[in-house]
Amino acid sequence: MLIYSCKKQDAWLNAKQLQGDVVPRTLADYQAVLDWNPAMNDRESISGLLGTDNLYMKDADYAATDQQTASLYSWQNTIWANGTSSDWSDLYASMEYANVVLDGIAGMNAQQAGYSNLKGEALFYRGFALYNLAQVFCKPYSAASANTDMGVPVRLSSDANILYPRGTLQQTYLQMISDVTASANLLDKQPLTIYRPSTNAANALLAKIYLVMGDYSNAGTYANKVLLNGTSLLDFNNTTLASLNNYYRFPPNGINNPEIIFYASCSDYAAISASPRTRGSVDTNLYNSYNDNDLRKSLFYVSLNGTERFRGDYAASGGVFCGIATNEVYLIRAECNARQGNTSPAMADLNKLLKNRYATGTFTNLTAADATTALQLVLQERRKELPFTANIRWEDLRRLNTDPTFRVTVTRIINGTVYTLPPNDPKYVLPIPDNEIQLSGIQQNPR
Amino acid sequence: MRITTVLIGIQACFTTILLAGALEAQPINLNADQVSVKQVFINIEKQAGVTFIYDEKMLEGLNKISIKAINEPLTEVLKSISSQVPLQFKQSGAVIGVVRISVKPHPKAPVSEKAIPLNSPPVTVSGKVIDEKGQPLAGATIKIKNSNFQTSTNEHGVFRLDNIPDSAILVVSYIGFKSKEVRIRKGASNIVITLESDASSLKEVVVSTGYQDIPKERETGSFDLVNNELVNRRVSTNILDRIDGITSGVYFNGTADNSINASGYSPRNSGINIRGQSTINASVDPLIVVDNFPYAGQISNINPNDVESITILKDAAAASIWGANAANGVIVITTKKGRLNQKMRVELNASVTVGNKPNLFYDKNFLNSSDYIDVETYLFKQGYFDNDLSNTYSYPALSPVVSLLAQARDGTISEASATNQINALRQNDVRNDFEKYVYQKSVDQQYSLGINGGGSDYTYALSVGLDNNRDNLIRNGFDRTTVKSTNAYTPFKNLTLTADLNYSQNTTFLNNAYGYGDLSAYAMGNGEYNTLYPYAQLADSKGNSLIIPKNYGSSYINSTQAEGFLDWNFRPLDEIKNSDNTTKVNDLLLRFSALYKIIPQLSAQIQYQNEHQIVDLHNFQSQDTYYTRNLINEFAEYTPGSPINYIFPLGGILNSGNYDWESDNLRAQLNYNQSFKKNVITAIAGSELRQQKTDGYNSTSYGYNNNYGTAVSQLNYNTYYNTNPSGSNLIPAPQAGTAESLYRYLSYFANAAYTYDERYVLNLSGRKDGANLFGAKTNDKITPLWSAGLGWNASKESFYAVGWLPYLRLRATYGFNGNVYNGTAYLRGNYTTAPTTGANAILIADPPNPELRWERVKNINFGLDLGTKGDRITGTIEFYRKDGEDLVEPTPLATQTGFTTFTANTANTKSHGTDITIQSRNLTGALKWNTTLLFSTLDDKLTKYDVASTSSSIQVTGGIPGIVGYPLYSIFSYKWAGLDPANGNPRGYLNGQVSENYSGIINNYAPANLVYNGSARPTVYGSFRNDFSYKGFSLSANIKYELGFVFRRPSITGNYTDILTYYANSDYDNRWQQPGDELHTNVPSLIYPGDNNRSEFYTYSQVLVQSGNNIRLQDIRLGYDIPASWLRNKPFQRLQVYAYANNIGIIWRENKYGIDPDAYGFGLTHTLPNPFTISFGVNANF
Repeated sequence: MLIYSCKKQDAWLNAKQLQGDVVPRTLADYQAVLDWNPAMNDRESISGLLGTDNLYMKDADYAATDQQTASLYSWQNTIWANGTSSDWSDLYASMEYANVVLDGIAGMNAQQAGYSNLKGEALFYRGFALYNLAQVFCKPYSAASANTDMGVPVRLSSDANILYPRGTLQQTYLQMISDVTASANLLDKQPLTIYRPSTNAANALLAKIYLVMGDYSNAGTYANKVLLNGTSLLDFNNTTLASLNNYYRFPPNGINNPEIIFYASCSDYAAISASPRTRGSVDTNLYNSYNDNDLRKSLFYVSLNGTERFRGDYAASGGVFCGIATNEVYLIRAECNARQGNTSPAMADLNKLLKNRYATGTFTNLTAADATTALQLVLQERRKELPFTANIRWEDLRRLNTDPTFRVTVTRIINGTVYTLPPNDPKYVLPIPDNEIQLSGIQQNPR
Repeated sequence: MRITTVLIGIQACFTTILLAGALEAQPINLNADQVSVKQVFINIEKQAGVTFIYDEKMLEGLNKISIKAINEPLTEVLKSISSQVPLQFKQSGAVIGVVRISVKPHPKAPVSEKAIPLNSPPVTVSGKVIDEKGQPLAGATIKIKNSNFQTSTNEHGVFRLDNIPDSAILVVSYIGFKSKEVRIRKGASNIVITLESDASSLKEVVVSTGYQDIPKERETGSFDLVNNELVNRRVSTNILDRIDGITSGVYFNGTADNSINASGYSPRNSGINIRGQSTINASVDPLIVVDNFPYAGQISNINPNDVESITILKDAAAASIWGANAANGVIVITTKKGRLNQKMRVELNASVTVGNKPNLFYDKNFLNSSDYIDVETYLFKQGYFDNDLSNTYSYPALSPVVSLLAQARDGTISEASATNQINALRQNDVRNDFEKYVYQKSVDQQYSLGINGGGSDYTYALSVGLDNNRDNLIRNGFDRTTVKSTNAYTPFKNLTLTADLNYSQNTTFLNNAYGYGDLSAYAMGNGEYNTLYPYAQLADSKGNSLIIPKNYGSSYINSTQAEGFLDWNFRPLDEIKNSDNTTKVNDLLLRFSALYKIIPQLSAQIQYQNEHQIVDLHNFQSQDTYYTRNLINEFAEYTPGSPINYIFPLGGILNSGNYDWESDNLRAQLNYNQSFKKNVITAIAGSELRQQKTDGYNSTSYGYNNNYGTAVSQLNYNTYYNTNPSGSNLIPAPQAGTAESLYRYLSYFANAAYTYDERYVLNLSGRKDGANLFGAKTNDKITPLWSAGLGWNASKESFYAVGWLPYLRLRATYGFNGNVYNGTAYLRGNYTTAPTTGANAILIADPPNPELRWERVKNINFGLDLGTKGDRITGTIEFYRKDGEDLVEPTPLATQTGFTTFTANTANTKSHGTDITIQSRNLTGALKWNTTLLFSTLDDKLTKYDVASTSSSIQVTGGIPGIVGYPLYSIFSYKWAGLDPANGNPRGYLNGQVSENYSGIINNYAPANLVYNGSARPTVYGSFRNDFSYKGFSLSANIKYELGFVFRRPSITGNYTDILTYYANSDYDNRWQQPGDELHTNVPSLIYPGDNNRSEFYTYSQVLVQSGNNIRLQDIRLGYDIPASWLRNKPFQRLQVYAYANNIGIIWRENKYGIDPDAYGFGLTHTLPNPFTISFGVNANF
């Protein structure tokens, strides 16, 4: 008879089944969790972008596209196929992984090398996910109603058994500000790669957050912090990095693009991404608003099938760039200055950016007589500079709709039928996927 | 081995008895209480492979005897007989002479066997006695009628009688056979006398659990034995096919996956359910045991000709010895072995099976060319292809019709010319091309030669098998060579050593991946066509391979050719020709065991088995293959005026892989057998270690030169190169993966059976199983399981007086089986390389669940064994209940948790059913007719399910919708309200109102709002087999039936575009087209743009659910035993030729669509019924 001591029995049964199996335990393990870029960087949201005025679809393209794209494009009541939305699930997956790290390192020695940065990364990812979710699944932020408007579930634990309710929009924003602010202090100044967040990325994200909240003072402050911390712009005349000979015009995956502060992307909707099969065309007015010397006109777009389609993308890998680059930060600082009445610094930032966009020697500085003109110019260039970056146009429509000067009614003509999206319409908030409602019982958005 | 012919006169009187040494034959198990000596002899003969030679008269007047023997040596048993009746035994080889001592001389007995009793001229007669199968009967008694003159046959069944009277009548008798009278004619010699077996003689069935062989009489559990005759009834390459349709409670669910799983471990799927399914996520496959140990290799490694019998263990008591591996039942395969003191036996089997090409015209998921072209034309007019047509970046491929329409629109060709060409295409049917160029008749050849035998202290068995299968798909096939050797030695008294060696080498040829409906092979690569259009032509009238559009339009391909690129066209028939893709499996199994008898009642045994399976993948894609040409062209750098720079090297691509599976088993076991007075105790206890390790790598070589074995290694996989026709890409990094997995099990087991007075049986079994579950605490890695059983031989009771039912036995068992789960208590991830950054990253796989437990299946079984007078009707009736508890499954999570599922114990199931086997002997004369009816019912339901259902969870086709109170596999559908008379939209009900609000209906998914159609798996199934025999002819026909289930019929989706992607269906013809159509059709109108909710509603609506009930004639076997008289002077002892026809056809089906419920493609799949096959074979014994 074979008799095994308990110890031998344990040793026998403790062998690992799969070589690659791991239960994360060390700081290095947790860093590795956040280094899985497909989950942490490459699954952002662009579903809002589909509903904006930056693009349109010809009838044949509309008919031929997939139903989810078509539903987002024409603001249908039902959006998500099969009751699931990758916008929702992917952003929550990155939030979960961030929570896994935060829970996992909670008891560790905070003094050890790499601890602060790792914690900062996790907080950044959680804040970034909350930010992106709020722009799609919540109403635009308004200080007046934030305490009664619905937020998204703010998950602070990695325990999958806990279901969180939606809470208020105020709670959602407070949490993302708290997470990102904390991360700014914890993160390394110089990240190893643009796939990892850095102090600049956190400050830039804070600028974005405060901008959509209408807090221009804070937004300007954080944008300023970023720009004072050694950032650079990509000169579109640099044919090594911006070339019509490159299919996507810019380096794939943002490699060597000096402008990118934090890399993220989304490849969910082939219809508007910079792929050869794109069915969305750039809005004609938007396209025509580019000066012929503006290199963005040729680098961003391509003539295809009788219309202009988006092609030049900082992700340059078939998806849409959803990260944060210096150009956006300049535009935020310019907008905040303009809104605060500081005309000349606003124009200085705008001109600095545009100088890098026009063919060498063709650009003459724009001037503005007053802050209002400056603001108009900044917002106009903002749309031209970031037409297909993340949900930025969607976010802008949402926040600008509250201002009678800038509000826009988006109109579509599909097979002869006119569809409109009036300012502040409930359809600026996408429905929570049915699958989530069915399993967690959280409240649906009215449509 | 020389066997002495023993001639015994009734007056012969031996006073000294020689018990020939230690007859260490098969240990004997007997439990005889007041039975005839003859009966005991029969039992011993069956078990020990010996033959008693005696005269029936000799046994007259002997008292009945009682013997209890558990694994007793033969000598002991014989001694026991001698002590009770005046018989003595003389053993010589496998023949035991029986002598009655102190017999009174017969008054009329001749003084000598050589005496001439009559005065007519004497003759000499010689001949041979055989059974119905032509096997010689050694020791048969030949007696001259009305005299005392007699002799018996030798080991070849041959006898000779000298000086006997002319025209005497011979009376030939043999135990277990009916005696026969034969009148001899003058000068007759070499007569052959065939005896018919007397089926009323009791058959002792011995079943194997993999731990011990036990008489079924002494067990209380549910065992099903497939004896050698039944194993050989069907003709197949795979051993598991042999049990289909002949065992009760065993259902072949059609999901079997026999593909070779090279990398790592994954649960086997043999597609077999034993008594339904009581698990959800854990492996649903029965445990397959070959000669005592679980078989880790491919089942296809086993040569079915090496198999002696198969035992199916169905309930807790039968299977509990396998503990945590037994929840799905156990299939124990026992291979052929030699017997002690057995003359060398040679068996030869050869067969050829020819199979029809599959019937492609059966498929409903097909739309004829003309209708298909109409759909394309419609979509073309809608501008559906405009994007592709004007796409000068990626130049997507276009179908011929779309090209022609575009050319006509652009004015490149005239309308009339386009119409003519398109009309010509309407006449094509690609299925004809498939039948002609892609499929062939399958031809499976199987040859097997086996020898076995044994001496007084050793046994041997050696066999060689050869299989050569030509698949239905041209250039696909399977070759197998097996060598098997099994030897046992008894070097010292009380010690038995065995050594087994099984070697199997097989090669699977996978050159043809271009079968009908193969989506990945024929996808056009433009997103619109995922399968081949029906008017495609694979070859021209001369058989030359033709181009099928793939990836790029022909204008672009032609332009690249002009620039010197490699031919970029895709020709499927050339692909089949150029493929070189094989998978080789080498499997070597070594087994040793040592059994030492400590005292007669107690033995200790150690067994060790090592199995090594090496899987070798070899896929060489030469530069002629599309895959390689495509990569080379994609990365080719072309500058006008200079030669092409090949970034991706010219030459072939070699994908190779090598996987090593090693499985080790070590078992130490004590066997205890004790009988005293009327008590018999059998017990085993032991422990076992099992480890399954897989290890392997795969690699890709680019620019591979097949002649020199060279490859290009200096490629840069991190640089984005511009690609043709547009874009940029990385060269796909060569595979260089390694896979390593290790599964360990540790078990302690004990099993005891107590029998009292042959009437009462008690079984107890306990087992503790451990596994190296990942992320579980040590305590949670081990689970205890047990079972108990009671048996009662009612017919042995003195008060039992049911004359017509002389055999009645009742059994009841209760216990638990387990199932190893694959979840994890902690957050689990895998280290891997992040794709863009190359960082060493963790991919999170499973969320943690600290409360994960082992699943258990509670089993209750009631059995009734009965036999009517003369065994005209025998049968087994079993009622069972199986309750799955704490079933582990992937449970949907709200996605806010960051996961879509996690593994949890969330479900319980309850199933109960009946397994009935009835055998009747309808005719027993020269024409014999036996009927076997198998009847199984299964009623299962989910009793607990913690998973919230969702609108999509009920949309399953033959899957698990997870609704409590309904079967595990069940079908729910949306209530149907007919088509909208105005537009042909499908209509359902929302809140009681007829509605076309499809998303509303889909979201209103509570079971109460749905129609429950029934179980998706048969609830009543079985077979009805009739066996006839007349003289040497035997005929067996098996009818299978499956009742009480439903299936979803495939149809169109209602979206035009889906017809091109894959949902083409002949229902197109019945679609709603104009008002009034709704009166005679339920197929909705087609729309563009599509509406997925509308198609989802229709696809899962009530109107597409059909009854699956069907009865089919599965197979017929016709055999003919060459009469022994023809075999005279030939080396054969038995020679049978046979023909076997399989998959004959459906006799009755309830659905009106001509769909075989075992073969219907839903959505993407194109499932065809198994083609008819016919086999011819010969079976010979020497």
